[in-house]
Amino acid sequence: MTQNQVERTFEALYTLEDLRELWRRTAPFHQLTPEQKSKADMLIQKARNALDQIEREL
Amino acid sequence: MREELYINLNPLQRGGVVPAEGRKTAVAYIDGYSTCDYCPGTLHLMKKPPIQDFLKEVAEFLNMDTATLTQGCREAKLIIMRSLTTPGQTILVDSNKHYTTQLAAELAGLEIVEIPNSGYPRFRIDPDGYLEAIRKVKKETGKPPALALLTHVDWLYGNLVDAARVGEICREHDVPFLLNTAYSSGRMSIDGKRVHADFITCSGHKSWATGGGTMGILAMQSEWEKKVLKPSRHHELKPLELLGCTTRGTSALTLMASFPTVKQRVKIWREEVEKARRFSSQIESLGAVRQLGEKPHCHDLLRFETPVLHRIAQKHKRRGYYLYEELRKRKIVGIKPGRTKSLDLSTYQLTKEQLNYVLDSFKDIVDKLSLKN
Repeated sequence: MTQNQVERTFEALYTLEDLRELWRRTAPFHQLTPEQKSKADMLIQKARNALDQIEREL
Repeated sequence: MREELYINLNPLQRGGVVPAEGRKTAVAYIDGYSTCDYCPGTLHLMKKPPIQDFLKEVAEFLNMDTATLTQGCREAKLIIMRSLTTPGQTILVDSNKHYTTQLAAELAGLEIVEIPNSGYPRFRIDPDGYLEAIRKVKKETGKPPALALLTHVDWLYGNLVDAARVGEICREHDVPFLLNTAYSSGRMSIDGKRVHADFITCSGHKSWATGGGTMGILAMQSEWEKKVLKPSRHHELKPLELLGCTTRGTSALTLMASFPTVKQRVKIWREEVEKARRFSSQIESLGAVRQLGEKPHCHDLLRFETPVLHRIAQKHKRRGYYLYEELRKRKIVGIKPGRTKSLDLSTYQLTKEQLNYVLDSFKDIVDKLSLKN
């Protein structure tokens, strides 16, 4: 396990907390505005990139 | 229950909702004594993480001279009572106090003189009641009370008391003044020097966006520091009343991580009050709903008496539980199960859309079930 993999693990966790914040602000029905949708897309991509990096280095 | 799937109206919870930055910190520092890897001997002097600097910022934020961490607001009150008084002495408290004020006084062996509220329906605390009570205690015991405690905003009605007037009275009569801000600091700006507070106690989990249920702050003027934070005879860095160190882990770090959010949100307190007032008048328009406590209201904690909901309960097969169940079906929680005579809720930090949805849901429940029952 490298330092990079650990850092990417935290990056993914923190990014998912930002996504969670979006669910909290729009509870209970999560009808996202276009801006919120694009923020959600960006966060998902960021988390996915972090996970991809971890996987590549395994 | 996931907070992400519901609107939570519970007045106990709204001010303790932790922002993303706080939750990230909690994830990273969940282990044991996560504050203590670089311990200089005591928590409040910690430089890494920068707890010492944080406490200076908190003292500035409250306009007090010094601040320290406690396990909760109730522990902070007990620390003050134990430090300043001796068993058998008398202290003043307001009748809208939290029960832990009474417990702390009991544990410290103190007699309580209560400043009564104005009764139904406003339950207001008149600051000048403290003047009368000081005179009464002086007359009866020959000494002023050992301490006066004011609940700045009470937990039942959400009434905001004029702390500056109480502080002025206490100063004039040489009575130390403790302001319990469990439901005010962290939501609204507090200026300790302006209100003549000797001590301010705060609740991290009630109003400073901190989780864990174990986070308090005790702020004081410098003249009291030596007395309250006096060290142990055996361990010179360890304040005795704090048992050396208080919150040694994730709660303290979450409090620190949430602090930038807290500093920002007190600036829009007026908007929160407007939102609460709007909600109050709209829910009253359902008919047979009446807001108790101060009007116009100055806080997001709201209590309503609700005969319209109670009438339905008397004929409903689920009795009082129908309301909780109907709200939960609509993804709204925080109203006590079984209760319909009166409701306690908070509008704090909920969006206009969320509050409109809550109002529509109450209206829908009343319309639907008033016809059926």
